[in-house]
Amino acid sequence: MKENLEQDFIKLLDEHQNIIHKICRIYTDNLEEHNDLFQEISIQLWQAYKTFKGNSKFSTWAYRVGLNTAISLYRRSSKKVKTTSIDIGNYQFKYTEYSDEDELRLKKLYEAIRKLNDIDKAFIFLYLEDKDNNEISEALGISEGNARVRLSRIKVKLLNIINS
Amino acid sequence: MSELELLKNHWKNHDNFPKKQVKELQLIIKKKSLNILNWLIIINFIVIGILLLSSLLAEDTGIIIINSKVTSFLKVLDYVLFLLPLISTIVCIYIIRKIKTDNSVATLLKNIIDLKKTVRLLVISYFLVYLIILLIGLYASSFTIDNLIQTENITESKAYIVFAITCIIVGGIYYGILWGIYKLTYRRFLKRLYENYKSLKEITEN
Repeated sequence: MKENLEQDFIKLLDEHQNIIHKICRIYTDNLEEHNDLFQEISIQLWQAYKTFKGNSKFSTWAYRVGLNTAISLYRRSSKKVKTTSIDIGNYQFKYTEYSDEDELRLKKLYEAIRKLNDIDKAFIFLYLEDKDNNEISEALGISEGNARVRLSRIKVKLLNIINS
Repeated sequence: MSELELLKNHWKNHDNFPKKQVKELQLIIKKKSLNILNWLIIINFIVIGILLLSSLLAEDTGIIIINSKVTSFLKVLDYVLFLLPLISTIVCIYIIRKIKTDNSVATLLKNIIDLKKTVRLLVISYFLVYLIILLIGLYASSFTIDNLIQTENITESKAYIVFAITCIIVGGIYYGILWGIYKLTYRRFLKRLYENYKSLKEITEN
């Protein structure tokens, strides 16, 4: 029984592992931290899966557990590796098909996201993942109106960071 | 293309992460969790352990029996010292069971903060009980000092000064260690969590 549960879970985890990678991409600065957070989210998903009732899609549920782990439970490694924006760019993003100008704009955008706090990062992450205000409000536990107002403020904040 | 459209476009088209193999995933979920809840529980037990140990050691110091009422009161306090960690552990287990990672971020953060508050309440209760025991102890020790002055031929003022300095040093070291463990570890573990909680609260209040 337990083995079946584990097999089912591993199959789902394998199919949806990109969700975890993307959360790690927005919350970590280097590969070591990325792998640490990936591990922690996977463990939390597995522990919560034992009581997962399937009321929502696995992916929706995984977004929630993943963000919760990144925001509330995960502690960054104390031996933090010093990185520069170039390191971050190299390990996470590729810009091959973009013009030099767009590459620079994108690098500035990702740098600006790094400067946001954990909660604002969650908003931007859910926005980039095409989640609507209702889904954002449910994931974060705030009202839909608050989610809408906050998201538009964060977008402005992001653009201000880039232009400053 | 606007900045945000460019970002969204790039985000969607660049998700070719190095895929983890099934065997790797199986190993990952069997690893130990690094999460702060585990650390909160460990710190809780360290604090309780130190307090219990020191209360056991304090029993051997042999406070002079002043009168039967004070002695019975001290006995009650002793029981309280042993009951507090038990109650705290039960409450902590209850709160930890409530902490579910598939709740909303706001609920999860609130539950973790509640857990921390419970531990803080235990530590404050312990300090209060200790303070009462210490005060009774100091009062009882004044009888010891009187005996010392008579038997060892030490001046009264000298005996009291030595006694007061010893109390301050020993008490200071003891409370200092506990303060260090409690404050520094919690600050270290929960700083980021508090910031996130504050940030989320600001959103709902605005």
